[in-house]
Amino acid sequence: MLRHSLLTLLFLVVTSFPVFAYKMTIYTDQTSKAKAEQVKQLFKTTYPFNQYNIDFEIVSATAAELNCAPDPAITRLVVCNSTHVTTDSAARGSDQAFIVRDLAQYGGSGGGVPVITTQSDPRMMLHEYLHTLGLSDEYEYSASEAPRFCTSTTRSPNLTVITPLASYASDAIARTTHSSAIPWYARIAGTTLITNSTNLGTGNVNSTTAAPNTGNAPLALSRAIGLYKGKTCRNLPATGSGPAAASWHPGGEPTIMEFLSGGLGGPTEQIVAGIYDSRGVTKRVAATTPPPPMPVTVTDGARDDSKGAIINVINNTGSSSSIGR
Amino acid sequence: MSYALKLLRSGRPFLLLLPVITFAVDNATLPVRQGICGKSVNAVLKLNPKTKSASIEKAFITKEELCDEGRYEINANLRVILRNSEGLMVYDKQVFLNPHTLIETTRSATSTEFGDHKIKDDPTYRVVKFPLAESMGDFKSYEIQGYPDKAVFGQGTLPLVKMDAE
Repeated sequence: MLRHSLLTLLFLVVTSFPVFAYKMTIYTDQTSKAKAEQVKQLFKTTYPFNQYNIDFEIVSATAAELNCAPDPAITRLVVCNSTHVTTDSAARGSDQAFIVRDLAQYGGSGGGVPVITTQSDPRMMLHEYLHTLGLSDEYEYSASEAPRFCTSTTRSPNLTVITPLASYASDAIARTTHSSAIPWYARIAGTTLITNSTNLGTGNVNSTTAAPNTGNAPLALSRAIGLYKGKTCRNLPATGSGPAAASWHPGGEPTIMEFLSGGLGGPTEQIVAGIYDSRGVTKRVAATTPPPPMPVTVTDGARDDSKGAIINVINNTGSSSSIGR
Repeated sequence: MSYALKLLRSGRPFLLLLPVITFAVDNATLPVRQGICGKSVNAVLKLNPKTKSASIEKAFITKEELCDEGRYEINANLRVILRNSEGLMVYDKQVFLNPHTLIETTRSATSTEFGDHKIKDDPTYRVVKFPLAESMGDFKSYEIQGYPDKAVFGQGTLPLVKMDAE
């Protein structure tokens, strides 16, 4: 009797407080739904997604509803028309649709709706979803795609394209010159240099890939958040005699945006958590060690006292991603 | 013994009331929720990068309660404005929708290195939720602007679909 009453009490207390979970719906035409289940488990165990209230739902769909086809130019690439799944997910109260298509090809796509095939590593879905959140690839783009992507206005939460000056008299001058082009500038500590000698850059992205993080705490930063030269724009055609335009990243380690085996890396974890917070996704109540306070300056937001902390806001005003960038 | 008497003797009514008391006490010390609350209107947002246009394809009105605490998304590239039948702006929200679709594959089925890839400019879609509070009256039309440049990407009548019997 007492146990029953206590359970009733607990139930009523818990349900007295509204919790607004973010809902992910995975559509698949695979009969067993095995790949969709792997994707679900991956999100449930990957930091920082495992810190948020996320409900998962796996929904059967026909191949026709998923509406995927090989790309006309590169048949190994699969592209889907996501009209149906987005409409269905809106009707069922979901926030984000995913597609797992049962095909022999391997690969995926990201943009509005992340897509992978059943022959792909489930980590491919994580990579594609990060595109949906606005993050960019960090691997070397081909000579045909690099000029399209690597423009002087390309900005995303984890990548910016900057053409460096021939030399910098001081770090302060580099900061003054480029701060507005670095979306994560507010996360770079004042003590971290964004130049080395007279050149731009805290350093280069190194070869040690960030490990996947399945824990409940953010990764310790092996290198401070800064401005690290990446590989994405290496294949841009040469122009003039000065330094070429290059891609720059907040972290010094390759992440899942470069290698599927990689984790998000410390800086990307913070960026993704910031995006989720800005979308109003609530955190799970769990007995975890709170992350250390970040040296973040609020630049274009306000305190959200309901969360008891300063929102991490990246100031990208005037340099933010815009349509057709 | 009547059921009511048994219930009273068991002390269960007190236990059932306790959560209400607990809630009232805790609620007094809790910070006020920042989000605007109302019935959840789940809209399908479409962005066509080729024509630089955007639209709301459907908007499902549900009975589910939504307190929107995600009105200003980091990295937003669109601002959705909702107006009532009198043309007054009753809600707006800054959201991100990737204008590009990136299709890519690894070098082999077991490789972790990316190989073929391509950027496509096909239309992209996402769900955006809005709270429809009683004080707003109704949602009738929308306008979608680029953010932060305010270029108009589309406007029209909101294609509302009621999901639950009122």
